Amino acid sequence: MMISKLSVKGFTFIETLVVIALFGLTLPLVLTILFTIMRQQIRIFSLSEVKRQGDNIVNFLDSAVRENAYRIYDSSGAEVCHEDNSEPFPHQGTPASFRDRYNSSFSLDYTYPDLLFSYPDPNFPAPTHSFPQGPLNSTKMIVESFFISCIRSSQYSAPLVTVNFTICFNHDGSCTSSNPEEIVSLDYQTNIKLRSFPTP
Amino acid sequence: MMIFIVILSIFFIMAASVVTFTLRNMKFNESKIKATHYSNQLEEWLRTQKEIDWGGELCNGCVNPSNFTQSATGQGNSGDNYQTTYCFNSTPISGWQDLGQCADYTLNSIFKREVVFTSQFISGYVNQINVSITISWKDLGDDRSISTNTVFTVLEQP
Repeated sequence: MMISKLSVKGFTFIETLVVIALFGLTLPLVLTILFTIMRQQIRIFSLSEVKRQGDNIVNFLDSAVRENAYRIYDSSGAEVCHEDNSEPFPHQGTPASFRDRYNSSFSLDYTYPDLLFSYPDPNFPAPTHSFPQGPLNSTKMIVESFFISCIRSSQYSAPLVTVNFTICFNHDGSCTSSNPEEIVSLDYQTNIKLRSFPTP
Repeated sequence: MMIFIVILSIFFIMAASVVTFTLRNMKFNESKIKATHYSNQLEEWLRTQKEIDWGGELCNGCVNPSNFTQSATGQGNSGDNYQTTYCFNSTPISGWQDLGQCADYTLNSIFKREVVFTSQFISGYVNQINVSITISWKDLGDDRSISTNTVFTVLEQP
């Protein structure tokens, strides 16, 4: 009588085995789903961040160059896209630095993976004082394929500065990854017409 | 036991539906961010073309348009305000691309980027162009798109 009462309590071995088997099936499934969702979330976050920083760089360059650049110089220090008509128009060049109306120099320096904005010797009251110096992209981003050029079609037309670059998420120091799903990069191009410029 | 299996099945079906919906939504958001970028890129490029040389003349069957308004009036006639469509399926944009609608989704292998110009003119001079940029893509068989409408105009007129 005592033995039969005890035998009806608890789970049988088969029931326990079924429960363990169900857990064994569902747990990897749940973890895989969570992993997929998390990976997709990270991808969207990376893309938003790449776009945010790319837009910021374009907006910054747009306002800094459009409002402040007055004369444009190449890497050898020669003035390019100038008003001098001794050379036939259009004038073209590769800007390395700019000078504002107060003769303060400021430049856009590209050293992989960063794009830096600097003004070494500002003359007071140069408006370039108001801009922060340093890299325009964060350490989590890489700027690559950077290209800058300028063109001036006539003596009285404004010089046009063209900036092209690609910004991507930093995967251990490069834009590439073994998993193509992880590669996040966007192309940017902007054309900036100088607001003030020397005319003859 | 049967009740347990039924409850478990319902749970799995619901979980699968939620996960599918979430992943689909995420994929759509990702595509939308890219599409917005491509739309901004084209708008910025068109704005620059407008700044470089507005022109003001109608194309009227011109072979090589030389300014913005001529490029933007390459199709249509005065009855439909010279409605002109271009396909810009390459990035970065290097110049005026294919006249007419895009045939394929070749922009980043997923998208197609079209722009429709509608011009307003007085005595043959174009003083305003309405620009409608549409980025379309396929999302698991469904057609998705975003549109940006803007107006380009010049304040000074001849």
